Amino acid sequence: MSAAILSVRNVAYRFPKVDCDAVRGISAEVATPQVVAIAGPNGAGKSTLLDLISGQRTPSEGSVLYAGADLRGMSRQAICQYASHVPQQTPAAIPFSVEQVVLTGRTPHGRGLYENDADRAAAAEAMEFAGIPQALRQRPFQELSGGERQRVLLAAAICQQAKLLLLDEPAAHLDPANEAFLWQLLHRLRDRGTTVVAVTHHLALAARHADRVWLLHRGSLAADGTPGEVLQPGTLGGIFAVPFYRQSDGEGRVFLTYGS
Amino acid sequence: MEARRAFVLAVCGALVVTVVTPFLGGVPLDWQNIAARREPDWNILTTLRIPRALLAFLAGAALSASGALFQALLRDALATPSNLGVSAAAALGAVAAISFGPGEEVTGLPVVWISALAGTAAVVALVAMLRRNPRFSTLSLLLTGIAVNGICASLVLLLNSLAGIAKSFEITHWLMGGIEAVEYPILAILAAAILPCLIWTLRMARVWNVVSFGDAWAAGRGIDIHRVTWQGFAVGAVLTGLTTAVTGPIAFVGLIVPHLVRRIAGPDYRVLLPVSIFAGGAFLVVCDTLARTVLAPVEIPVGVITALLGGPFFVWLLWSR
Repeated sequence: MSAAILSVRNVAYRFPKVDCDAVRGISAEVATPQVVAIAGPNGAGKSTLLDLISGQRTPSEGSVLYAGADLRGMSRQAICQYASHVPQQTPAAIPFSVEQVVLTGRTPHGRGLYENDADRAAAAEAMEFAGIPQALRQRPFQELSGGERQRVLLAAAICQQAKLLLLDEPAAHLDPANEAFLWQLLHRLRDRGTTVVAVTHHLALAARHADRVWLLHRGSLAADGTPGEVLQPGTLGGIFAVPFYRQSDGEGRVFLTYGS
Repeated sequence: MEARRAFVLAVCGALVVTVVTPFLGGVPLDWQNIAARREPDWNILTTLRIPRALLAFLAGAALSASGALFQALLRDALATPSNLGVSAAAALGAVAAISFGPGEEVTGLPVVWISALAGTAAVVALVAMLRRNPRFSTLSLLLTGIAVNGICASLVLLLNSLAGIAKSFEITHWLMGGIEAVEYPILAILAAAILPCLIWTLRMARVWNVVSFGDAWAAGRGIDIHRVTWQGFAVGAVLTGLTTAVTGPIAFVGLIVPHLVRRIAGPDYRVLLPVSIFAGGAFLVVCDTLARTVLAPVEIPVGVITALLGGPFFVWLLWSR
C-alpha cells in the first residue's frame, strides 16, 4: 500500500516563551487528491497548522510526513518540490513583472542562475491554467488588483508542480467573481492530481467547495470529515458561539448561514 | 531597455569614465609629458589620479551592489547600505580612532581604517549572535539596524563634542566622505576583498529575486531564508564596511544607482546587479572628478557631491513616476 500524500501525526506546536500549545494532538491524513479546508475561529491554530504542514515551522511534538517521509529529514528544496505554499500576504515593493513572479515557482527545481526552457514552458502553462491573459504577463505585479495578484501567486505555486498546494486564506479580499474562479481553479487542480489544503475562516465557502473539512477549535482538531459531516449547526454553534443554520440542495451541497 | 543593451552601456560607460577622468583636473596634464613619462604630469596621473579613479570605481561598485542587496533583503526599494547600521558602526570606529587613535598607521594600514572595520565587524558579530534565536527575521534585522544606527550616531556626536577643535574638524571632514589617492597594493587588497563578495552576490541573483517577495514566499520556494538573510547581510556588511573604512560614509550611491538601474533595465537581479555594479562605479568616478575639479584647487568632499546630485535627482525620480 502506498503512503498517504500527507500525514499529520499527533503534532503539537508551542510558540517560544508562551506557556500553552498553539496546536496540539492533531492527527489527520490525506490519501487521495482532494480539496481540504482548514476552518475554525480566529486563533484556533489554522495558520500555525498550515505552517507546520508546509515545514515553515517544526512541530514541538509529532511529525508531518509527505508520502511517508518525515519533513525533519528533508531539505527545504525537497519540501518545496513536493509542497507549494502561498502565504496570506506577499509584499510587492519591487516592480517585478507577472511572468517573473510566476517563474519564482521554478526555484525549487534548479539553482542555476537562469531558468531553462522547461521552466519557461511550465510558467507559460501555469499562467494559461490560471487564466492570466497575455496582456497581463509583462505588467508589474504591484500594479495589479487584489484578485489579479492572487491569480498570479497561484500560477507561481502551480508552476512549482508540487503534489500539495497549501494556501493561507486564498479567498481573503476577493470579490465574488474572483472567489468563484479561485475555487473552480482549485477543483481543476484537484482533478489533475494536486491535493489542496486551504485555510479559510469562511465556513459557507468551505461548505460549498471543499471535499473535506478539518475543523479546529482551541488548537485541537474538533472534527474531520466531509462538509456534510463536519459543518453541523450544533457543532459550529458550540465552537463559534453563534447559532448556525444549514440547508442542503438536491445535489447534496451544503449551505450555511449564521447569526441570531 | 533590453537587459543586454543596459549591461553593455554600463560597462562601456564605466570604462570610458575611468579611462578619461584621470586626465581631467585642476592641473592640466600635458600629453607629450605623459607620453614621455616626464614629471610631474606622469606622477600626477599614475600615483594620484588613476588610483583615485580606481578607488572611486571600486567604492561605487561595492556601495551599489550592497544597496541593491539590502533592498532585496528588506523588500524595500528605498533601503540603503546604511539601513542596517553597518555604515554607522564603521563611522563610530573611525571617529573613535581619530579621537583616541594611538598613531597614524598599524601594520601599514591607517588606524582609522582598521578601527572602522572593527566597527563593521562588531555589527556583523552582533547579528551573528542574534541569528541564533529562532525568532530572528528580516524585521528583527532591520530593527537591530535602526537601533545600532541610533546608538552609533549618538556616540559619534558625543565623541565629536568631546574632541578638541583640531580633531573635531578631522572628524567632520571624515564624516563627509572622500576619495583619496591610495597606493596600488592597498587598492589590490581592497579589490581582493570586494571582488569575491561581488561575485557571490551576482551568483545568488536568482535567489534575491525570490527573497524580494518576503520570507514566507521565499521559504515556500525552497529557500533557507534564515541562512540566506544572514549570508546576504554579512556580505553586504563587508562591502559597505570596507568601502566606508577607506572613503568615509558616502551617501546616496547605494540608493539611487540601483533605483535608477531598476527603472531602466528592470528589477531582475540578474541584470540589476551587474548593471548597478558598473553604473555605480562610473557614477562615483564622475562624482569624484567633479569633487576635485569644480572648485579646484579647493576640493569638495565627494559625499557632498553625491548628496547634492543624488538628492534632487532622487526627488525628481520619485515625482516623475
